[in-house]
Amino acid sequence: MSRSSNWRMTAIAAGAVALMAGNAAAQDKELVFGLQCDRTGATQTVGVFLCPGYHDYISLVNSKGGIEGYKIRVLEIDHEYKVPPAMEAHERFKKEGAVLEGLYGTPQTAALTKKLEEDKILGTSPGFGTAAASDGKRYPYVFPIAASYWSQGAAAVAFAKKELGGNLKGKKIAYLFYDNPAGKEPLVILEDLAKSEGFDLRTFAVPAPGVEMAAQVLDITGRYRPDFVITHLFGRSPSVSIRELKSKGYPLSKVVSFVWGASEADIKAAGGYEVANGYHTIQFAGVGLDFQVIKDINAMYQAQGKPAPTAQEVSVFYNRGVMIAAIHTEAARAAIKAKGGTKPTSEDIKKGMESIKGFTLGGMVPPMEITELDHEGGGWVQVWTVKDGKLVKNGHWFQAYRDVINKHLAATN
Amino acid sequence: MGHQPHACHLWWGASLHYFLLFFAALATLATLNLVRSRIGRAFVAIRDQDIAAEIIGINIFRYKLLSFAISSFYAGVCGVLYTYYFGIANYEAFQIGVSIDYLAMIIIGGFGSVLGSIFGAVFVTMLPIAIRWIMEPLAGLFFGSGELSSIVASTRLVLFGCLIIFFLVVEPEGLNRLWRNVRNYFRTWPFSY
Repeated sequence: MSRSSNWRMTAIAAGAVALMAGNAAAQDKELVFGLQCDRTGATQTVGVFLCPGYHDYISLVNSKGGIEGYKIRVLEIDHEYKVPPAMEAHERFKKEGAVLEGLYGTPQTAALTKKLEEDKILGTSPGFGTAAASDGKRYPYVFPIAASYWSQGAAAVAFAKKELGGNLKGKKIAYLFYDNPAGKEPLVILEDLAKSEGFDLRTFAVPAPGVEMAAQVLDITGRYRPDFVITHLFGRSPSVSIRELKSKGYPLSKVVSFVWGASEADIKAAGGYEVANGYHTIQFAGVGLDFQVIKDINAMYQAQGKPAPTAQEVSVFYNRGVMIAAIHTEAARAAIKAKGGTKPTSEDIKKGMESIKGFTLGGMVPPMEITELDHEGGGWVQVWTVKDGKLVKNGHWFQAYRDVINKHLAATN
Repeated sequence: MGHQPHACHLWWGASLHYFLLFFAALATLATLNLVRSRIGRAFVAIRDQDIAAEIIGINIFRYKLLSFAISSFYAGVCGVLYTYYFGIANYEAFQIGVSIDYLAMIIIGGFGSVLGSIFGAVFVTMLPIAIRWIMEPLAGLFFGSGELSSIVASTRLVLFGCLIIFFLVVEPEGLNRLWRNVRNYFRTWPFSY
């Protein structure tokens, strides 16, 4: 290495140190939110749209002066959908004084549940993680803040019941699922409901990576011939299921998908809105760009002379990112207010999270009510259906079979 | 493991570290000795030229089977320790991508050496952390926090690919060779003639 490049290295290092010192000075009026993301791993098709939504909402809050005078610094770590980097991310968040963490991925949530409890930092796991985490007593530091797979399963059955004329007696329902723990999780609820509602349930597992399901779909459409199909697939597989069901002539208007098979990207990959016409999707956040908060975000970009973010192309995931950020922000706001403006700890934010009620963000967020016992907030979902080249709202926010879900939650204790 | 008492966290973290380190040291020692043994020599002979190895009397079928058995043993021990460390056992974490990562570790570290595989593993594990440490303050000067995280994530992928190409083309013997070059240089320093 030559002498001049040595000097340059030293200068860069000195600059970096100076920058870190500058950051330290601003820390007393700053809250750190940790965000785990998957932008480069197995589920990057979600992360590249969801995480920008999170950042954009936080930027919007900061551009309006922050929460009660506190600016938010988001520390994002890309864990590539692997567990070890997720653990490392948690250690980093802890070191930087993060007051809450946005988790991502079911295995990562499972691995971090114990750590979060030990370190007393709350983590949110919207749309993944174990359904039992809705129980705030048993999982004090994990907040699903969105419908769990159990609630989604119950909602799917309720939706099928409505579509089939209000009675499921003697009907046949097929459950097509990704063969992993997350895919199997709703089975207990579906089996229970099959007994109480009197329908016949048959399950069809798709092995990883889920891009081969011609046999299962042929079995469904040719042999079983169900009245309704519930699908619970991840990654590339939802688009394959749409294409396969369509090509075997099964009406997509009798198919309802769980939340991770429900984005514009899945529909495009399946061959477009024309192909997927009639396909029903379960959502835990509003879909589309027709919300005041999205308009505010775009106005913020416009004021900076930048175009609207491209991540909005897949509004299903982008809006989920916005929703997660909004709930994090609301929890922090409640905590700061409760402390009379002093800097809240993670424990305060946990209390803030447990007081969220009636926060709807102009219809993008369901009317959930998070309490000390119910960290799921009621398991609200909304069905959006592919119609005339776009996803169209199909009814209001609803929750289904809460008695059955609560019975199972109590039984896991 | 479940609920550790709060005061014991540090102790638990540190002791877990030494517990794992003990097994890593044991495995390294065992591998080093294995390489020097009759079995290790046979493996090297088969790797270099399997027909020649067979001619000099090595039972290829037996040694190939043995190599599978030994590596499965290491993987098994590692899997148990992994579960202790993370608290969960989940097959979803072990997909094809993991194999590619391990292969990258070996390529970057250097084929056919114990030290190389350790170098490779440390390097590949630390690389994303190092990239974040360097990129966050530097790129923070030019980009907002949202853009920054997407850039950091992509940089890792780009750098990772470049490094594999670099090592395959320029230094097939990997970090191990670089380490040996440095060591040999300093061994005779300052009288290098």
